[in-house]
Amino acid sequence: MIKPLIIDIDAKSPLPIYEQVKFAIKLAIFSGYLAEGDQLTSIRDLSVQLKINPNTIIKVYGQLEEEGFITSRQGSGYYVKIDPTKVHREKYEVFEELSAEYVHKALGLGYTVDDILKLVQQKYRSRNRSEDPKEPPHASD
Amino acid sequence: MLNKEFRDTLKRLGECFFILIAVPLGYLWDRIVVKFGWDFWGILKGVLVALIFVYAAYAGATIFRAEKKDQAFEYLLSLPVSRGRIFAAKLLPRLGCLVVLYAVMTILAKSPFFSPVGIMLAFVFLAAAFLSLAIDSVVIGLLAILLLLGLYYSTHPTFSFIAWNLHLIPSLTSSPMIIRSLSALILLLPFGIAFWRVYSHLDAKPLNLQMKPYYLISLPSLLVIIALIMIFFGRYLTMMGKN
Amino acid sequence: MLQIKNLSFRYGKHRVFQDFGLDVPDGQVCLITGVNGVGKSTLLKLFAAVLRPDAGTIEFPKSMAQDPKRKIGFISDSLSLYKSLTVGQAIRYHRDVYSVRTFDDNLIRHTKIERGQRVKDLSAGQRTIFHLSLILSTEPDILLIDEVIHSIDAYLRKLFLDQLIALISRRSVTVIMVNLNFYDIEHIVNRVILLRSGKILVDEPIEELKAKVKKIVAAKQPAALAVLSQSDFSGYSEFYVYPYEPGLAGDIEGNVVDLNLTEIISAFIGGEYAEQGIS
Repeated sequence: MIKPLIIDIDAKSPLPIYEQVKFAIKLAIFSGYLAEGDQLTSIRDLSVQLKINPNTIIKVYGQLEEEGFITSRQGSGYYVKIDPTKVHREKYEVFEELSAEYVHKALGLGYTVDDILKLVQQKYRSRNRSEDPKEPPHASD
Repeated sequence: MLNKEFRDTLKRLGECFFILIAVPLGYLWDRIVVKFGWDFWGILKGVLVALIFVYAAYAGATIFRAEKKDQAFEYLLSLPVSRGRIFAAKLLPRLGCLVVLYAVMTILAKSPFFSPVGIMLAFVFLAAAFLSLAIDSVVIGLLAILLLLGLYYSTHPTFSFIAWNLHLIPSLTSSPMIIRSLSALILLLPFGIAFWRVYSHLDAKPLNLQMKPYYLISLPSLLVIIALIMIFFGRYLTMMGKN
Repeated sequence: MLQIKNLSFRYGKHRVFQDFGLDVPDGQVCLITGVNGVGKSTLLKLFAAVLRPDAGTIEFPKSMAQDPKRKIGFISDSLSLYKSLTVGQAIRYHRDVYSVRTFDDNLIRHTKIERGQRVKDLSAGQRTIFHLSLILSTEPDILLIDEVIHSIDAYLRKLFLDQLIALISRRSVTVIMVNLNFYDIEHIVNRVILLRSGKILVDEPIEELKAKVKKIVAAKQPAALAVLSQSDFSGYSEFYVYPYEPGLAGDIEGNVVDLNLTEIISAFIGGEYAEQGIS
């Protein structure tokens, strides 16, 4: 069963398209939506779905394979296979990047880091263990 | 490709069949109105000859009809087929049909296959084909063919006259086949050259932009031939008149 | 590699190209754009050998050199075909000429085209899709697509592009597209070429073009940056600049905004109209 990838491409982003797709797939893997061993959408299907040049998807999958997120199996496609030696900082870097965006905007409104911490504590303490079924059962933090 | 050309050839032939209406009409006309006592088979034979003549001109003139009507020149030019092969594929069915019709006529009339009529038909067909790219209007096309035919019937006696003057032929009663063939060829040559020049350089541009060779080759040659005919045909006629 | 060298071409009295050159590497998806009448369709027709250059040469990749037309798929905006033929006859004709053994009628079935219909009785959209399916059936190495997807409905346009993308994923094809709308093709394209007055004004890989053309929203024109065109509002303007360098961000009193391909091309063309004195 191939789980569909829902990726929003921003034509006006400073990030090149292949970076956007790569990031989206990494997020899907880290969030647990794509589990270890899951098969990825084929290059042809993903390129038609996103209306992107297939060679770009080939580049994305190639780089993801090199970076230790997926592996290709001869004749059957690409599968999620995390190489822990390569992918240990990645998840944290994604976390950092997502946080940076939020914190930057919050600080821009005039709030302080303490305000941010207080808000996060108040609003999100109850969601320490997510009820979201997409999250893997035991995420090692 | 040949399949389509054969189909188109037969369609054009079918369109010429309306001429056959002249057979019953002519018969009735004779029976009811003029009462010349025309024989039915005579009418039929006459109409068949007219049919073949019209078909020769029509088949030549419509050799690129499909491309002109459907605006398919661009498509045709994009195909991986050489222009020579395209022209051969167009020529074969049309010429073949003409030859078959003519053969049937010679059999029915018990006349020889190689005859002046045969040369005239080939001349009309080729002249029409060579002019097909330059001329769009049916009326102008018809006039052009009739003009060229008129020139042919002035040219071969003229050449015979010249040949007779040079003691190459014994008498002037009728132009020999070889002189007729030569005259036809010489008249067709400037048009054939112009046609091939235009056809081999044919582009997806509007056709009227590509007609220069006709003006540069055919027209001057035609004027030269007319001049020659006026000089020699005049003398020939005077001489014929004296006898 | 598809190479054009020293190309000159005239349409009657109008000189379209003079000493024009262009190289297109194998497998590249190249977009050619520009104002109407600049010669885009003409260039494509010259590529397709349907127009003969007055001077210059077009050299095809070695794999095609023997019989280039056999490996070229060309769709022009005139959708030239034998319109009096039925769909079935047209398919047979095409297959016969190209010696194609199989014909995938997937696209035709999708658009409810029947083999007994005459080509001239098809709608514009159906004719475009039909033409495309003919072209695809010959497995071309070079695909030349003129502005055909503009005048068809959104569904058929999507169908057309899906087929194109699927083809690119199946084999290495060089695609040269002439287009005026880019909203759904901008991520399929590798390279953008903008023609102006028979010459190449812009020729960049698309990612670089996006990095070099930016919109700066500011009260006054940014110094030291070439402005292609601008839109003026009360108190501020949008300046479309090219080429932009990231290092300059600090010196600019205004916001730097990224652009999609439509906005980029519009900026260039707007500049062209501004030069001609049309505001």
